[in-house]
Amino acid sequence: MLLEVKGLVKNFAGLIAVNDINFSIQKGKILGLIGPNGAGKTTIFNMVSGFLLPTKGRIFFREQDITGLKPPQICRLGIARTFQIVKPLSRMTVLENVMVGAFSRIKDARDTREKAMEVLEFTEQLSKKDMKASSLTLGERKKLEISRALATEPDLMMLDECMAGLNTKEISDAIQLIEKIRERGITLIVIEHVMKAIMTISDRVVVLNYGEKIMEGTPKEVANDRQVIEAYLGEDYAQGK
Amino acid sequence: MLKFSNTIKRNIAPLVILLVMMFLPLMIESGYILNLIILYMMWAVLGVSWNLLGGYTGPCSFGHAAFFGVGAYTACLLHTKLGVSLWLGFIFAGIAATLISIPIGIICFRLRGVYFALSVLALSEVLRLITLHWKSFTEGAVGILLLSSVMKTKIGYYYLILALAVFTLLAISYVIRTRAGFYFIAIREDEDAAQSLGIFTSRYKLLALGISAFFTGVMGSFFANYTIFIDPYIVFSIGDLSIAIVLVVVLGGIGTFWGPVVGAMVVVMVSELFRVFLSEAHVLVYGALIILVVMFLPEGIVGGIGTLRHRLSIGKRG
Repeated sequence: MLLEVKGLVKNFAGLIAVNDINFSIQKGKILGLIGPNGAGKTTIFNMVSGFLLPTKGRIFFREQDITGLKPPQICRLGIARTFQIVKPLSRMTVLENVMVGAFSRIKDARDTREKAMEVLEFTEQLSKKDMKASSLTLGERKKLEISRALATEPDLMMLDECMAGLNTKEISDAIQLIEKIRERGITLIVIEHVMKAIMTISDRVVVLNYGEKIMEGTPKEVANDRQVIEAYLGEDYAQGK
Repeated sequence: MLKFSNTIKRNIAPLVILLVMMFLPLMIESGYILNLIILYMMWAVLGVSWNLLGGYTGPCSFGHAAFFGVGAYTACLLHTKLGVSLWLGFIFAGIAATLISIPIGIICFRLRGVYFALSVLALSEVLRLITLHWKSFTEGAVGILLLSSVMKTKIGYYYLILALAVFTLLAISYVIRTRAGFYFIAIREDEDAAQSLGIFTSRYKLLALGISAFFTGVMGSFFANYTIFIDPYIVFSIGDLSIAIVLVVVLGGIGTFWGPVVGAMVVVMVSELFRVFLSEAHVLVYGALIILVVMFLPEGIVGGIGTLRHRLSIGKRG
């Protein structure tokens, strides 16, 4: 197992955001993380990436306990993440944004620049390299999040709604990019509301509702599960009323 | 060789200015004007140092007088009490300023928000009170008069501060082109993103603070040598130092390399002009200037020119 999450709990001043979550992911696979808004998906990302300390439970990466490590330490171990609400380094260019990511592995500025160019070529953003991040469209900003995370040379990437707000063309591009990243041997955990995307790319899907895991299985199993349909479409729909 | 000539071509404007600055004292006879240019260069260095922290990295310091004053007192006390050479005093002044900055950085940089800005302001006031009341060691309000100093003439000081300014500008322009420089800007732009990309943000903020404090401390010891007299009110002044440094940077263009160099020129001229009419109330003018800049030139002079040029070039293309 590349990543293993055991009994993860997060309490926010009495509100249980994540309750006793277990899941694991094998190297080279794509795990989809779905659930209605407020189900606790991003909270899980925040705990795995070190931005939040779990109230209970442990997180193992390559059999090593990484619970409680700080975000930069986690990045250096090989876990990268993107943010649902994009966080571009606005007054830096696209290339400089990606260079900041690449600097986590390389010290020399010239080598870093080269590495960043490679990444931008891979994500097909090279033509935008001299634009300020602030002047990008939302779709390009979401992609920049991915480019930047890729530049840190991760073994595991966690993408937080990288397709939300994109048009159909951009969504199919994003799906292709994720497939391409997987072909590089990078494991992915993907939070997504775009069901078509999650169902095509995921090997397994974990469904959350109110902080609890209600289902885990292949995309097909999940799509036909009564509890999942209930969570998304309401009890009435599930009972056929 | 080709690379060398390229470097010259790219930096032609600064090189011309440097050349002019080198020959300027031969053309200027007025000691008053020379004095203003010396002060101008000192303020440019102070602004560039503050800018590395406040402009590039983000944490805003309202108490850089702390580092200036510590530098000034370190050089003077080492000389008067222990007989340490005033030349070595420049280095010790920088080191002392950095040392005093480290604890405040370690404590405050874990937290975000205004804690650092307020703590460093408090630090400079505490240091002022200590130097004021610890009379047996610092001479208190009487101040310290240096009986000897590193240069004999004003022209000597002119070249000394020119050399220090060139060194500081080169050092800081080097730093911002390395990994640390990229990390500084990344931290300013978004601290969460920076952390997720492997940056130990509090460590790098501390590095920026340490470098910034070092050069500010060196300027403190320069000031002491140049004016041969310091007291707690002068070197730990909130209005005439801490706020004026912020003004130099904000006016010139926060986060731009040449901004503080331009801003220093304006601030030295304005403060000289208004000191004549308004004496102590000249600090009011600083306040008014900050308001004007924030309203009409939020990116400062250098930043404003950059935006204007960008707009014009887009206009031409369209």
